[in-house]
Amino acid sequence: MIWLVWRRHRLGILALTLLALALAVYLVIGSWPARAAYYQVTNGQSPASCYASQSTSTLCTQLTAQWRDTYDDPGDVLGWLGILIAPAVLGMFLGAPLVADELESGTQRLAWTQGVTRRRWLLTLIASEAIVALLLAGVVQVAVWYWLGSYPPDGNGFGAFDMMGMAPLAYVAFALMLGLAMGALVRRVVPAMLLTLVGYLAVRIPIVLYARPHYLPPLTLTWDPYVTPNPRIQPGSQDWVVSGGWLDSTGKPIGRGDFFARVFGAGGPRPGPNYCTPMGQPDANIGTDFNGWNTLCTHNYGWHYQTVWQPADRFWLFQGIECALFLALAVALVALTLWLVRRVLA
Amino acid sequence: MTWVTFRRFRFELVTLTVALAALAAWLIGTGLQHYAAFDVPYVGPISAAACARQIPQPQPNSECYNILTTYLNQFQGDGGNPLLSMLLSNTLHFLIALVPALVGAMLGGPLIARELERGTFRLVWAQGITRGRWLWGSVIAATLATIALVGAITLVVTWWSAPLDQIVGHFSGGFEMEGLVPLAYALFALALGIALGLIVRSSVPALFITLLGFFLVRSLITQLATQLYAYFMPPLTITYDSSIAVPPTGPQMRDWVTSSGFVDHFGDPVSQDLINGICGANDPTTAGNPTSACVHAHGWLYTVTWQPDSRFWAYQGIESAIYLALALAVLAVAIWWVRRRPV
Repeated sequence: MIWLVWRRHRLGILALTLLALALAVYLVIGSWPARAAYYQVTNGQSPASCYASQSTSTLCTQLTAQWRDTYDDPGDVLGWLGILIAPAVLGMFLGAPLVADELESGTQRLAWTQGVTRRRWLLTLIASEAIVALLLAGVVQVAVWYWLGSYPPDGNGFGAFDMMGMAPLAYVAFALMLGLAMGALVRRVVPAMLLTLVGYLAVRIPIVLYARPHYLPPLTLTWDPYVTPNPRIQPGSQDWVVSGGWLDSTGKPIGRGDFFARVFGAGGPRPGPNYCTPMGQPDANIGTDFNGWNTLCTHNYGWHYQTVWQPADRFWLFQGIECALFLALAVALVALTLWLVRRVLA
Repeated sequence: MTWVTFRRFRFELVTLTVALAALAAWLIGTGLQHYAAFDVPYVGPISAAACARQIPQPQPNSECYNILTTYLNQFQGDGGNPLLSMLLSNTLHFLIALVPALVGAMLGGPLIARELERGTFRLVWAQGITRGRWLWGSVIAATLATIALVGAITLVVTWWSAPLDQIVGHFSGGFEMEGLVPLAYALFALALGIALGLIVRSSVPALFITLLGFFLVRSLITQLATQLYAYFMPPLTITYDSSIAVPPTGPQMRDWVTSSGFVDHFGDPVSQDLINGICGANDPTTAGNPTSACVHAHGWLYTVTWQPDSRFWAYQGIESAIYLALALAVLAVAIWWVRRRPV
């Protein structure tokens, strides 16, 4: 039976293998210049030794700034896109046609009436495709770990959550089963592929934006920067600052636009001892940072600054939660597919 | 004939419409936030929108310039999470710019290939109409559907990115998401899909190769573009002594600066490293610091090359023409290929 699966899907598997290898090679080779420059020694120092010793000497500041400007760009479009979209591509091209192809061309009438039961046939299909997909994803994942290793300052911790650890493999499992379920649901290959892509993004993005910050209650600090310029407990550089902003005297958040309107607006204070920032030089980080602000002004309004963060040591716990969530979704989608297939008459 | 094709592709058309409607809803939701913040009075009665409309365009470090920078910072990323900043950045633009290709590929890949892989072409081609008419009917229907779907989403995207365009200019803003080029991308992807469908005779592989091929061609042209496009129309150039003042005839806020740097009195470029090594690490392009005084003493001049924002439509025309020409070429190759081999 496995032989049959391979015969039917070898073309797709080969094409996706080539694509996965290309992505892996791109990531590995693409990170070589950054890696080389990171260990490049200039006047006895390298960015690596500077980061390790946390030195603030002029040379170190210059070296690390230069390295960051040139290389430290995990926003690299191709790599990021590849990593974010790769699971969806596997789901679209490996998962969606699995059942939909059979239903669309009517061959399920033959395939599902042989000696093998429908359920067993389907489970074998799912298992073999899942193994192929996870193998491919594994190859890419090893390359991603190497790639991340080339950007040490930002290449670990919450900043790279979506690419680190086992979470990407859980995304692949989810995308594959989503493709499968969409195929069984709409029974047409091309619409199923499109729905897989849309569905994948529609689940992944809201989870990043709205669910992940609340896997565990975040730590919160609310203070008046005028009274306490330097609170004792603050998020560290490795912690994940989920949000930060000003609260008014009743504790309601002040939108960034409102903040400007209230500080500079028609009824607000004008230049003088009471203004919040020098006119014509709004702080680049307005609403997220109070550095450089005349905090007397915000104090007079009765405003407090609030920071909400997840400490760095929760990283692996969050990875576990995210993996469990996506694997549970994948299992639910398999159950849905089996139910659909049993209900759909051959 | 057209109607039959619409019927054949009703499931694809319905799913594409639903998916694009969802994207449009998201764009309208975030767009309303952009527009609300755009009209908020920042300093006294001055809003970002008023600053963006200011003539002449705001100069660096002016009040309006800073208001606009602040406005942009609100919508550009949150440093905490690269995925989040990515979604709000150029990568989002890149993703949106892939949507037209997806539409074209989804309609083009299976257009002919599905008939071929299922063998239904034997029935279709034995009907009253000729093979050629059937083919052109299908192609015309798919083209109309692509233009309608991509045109509709492009209108929403254009509205969505308008505040950005009014600040950073159309070249750095929504160039690849608005105007004519999304239609050209979509039609190229459609043609590539139809052609590959004719050649590989199987819809899913055709779709796969189409998306991959489109991605490669577009990345290649975009790479070339940053180097070549700058010279499709003779760029404007200005060379001046930056230690004195920035001349008002230089590039404005919304123009596309294609290159800039220092030159010596022979006109040869002087590298940034050399300047920093000799004159220190201050910004040599603004007057009134030791570095710029030292640059002045060496007689080095600052030279800037740019394309004005007003050439947006000319460049849209150039880029669209490239993709439409590619689309026609790909179709021609496919037709030649099909004629050459017996069905």
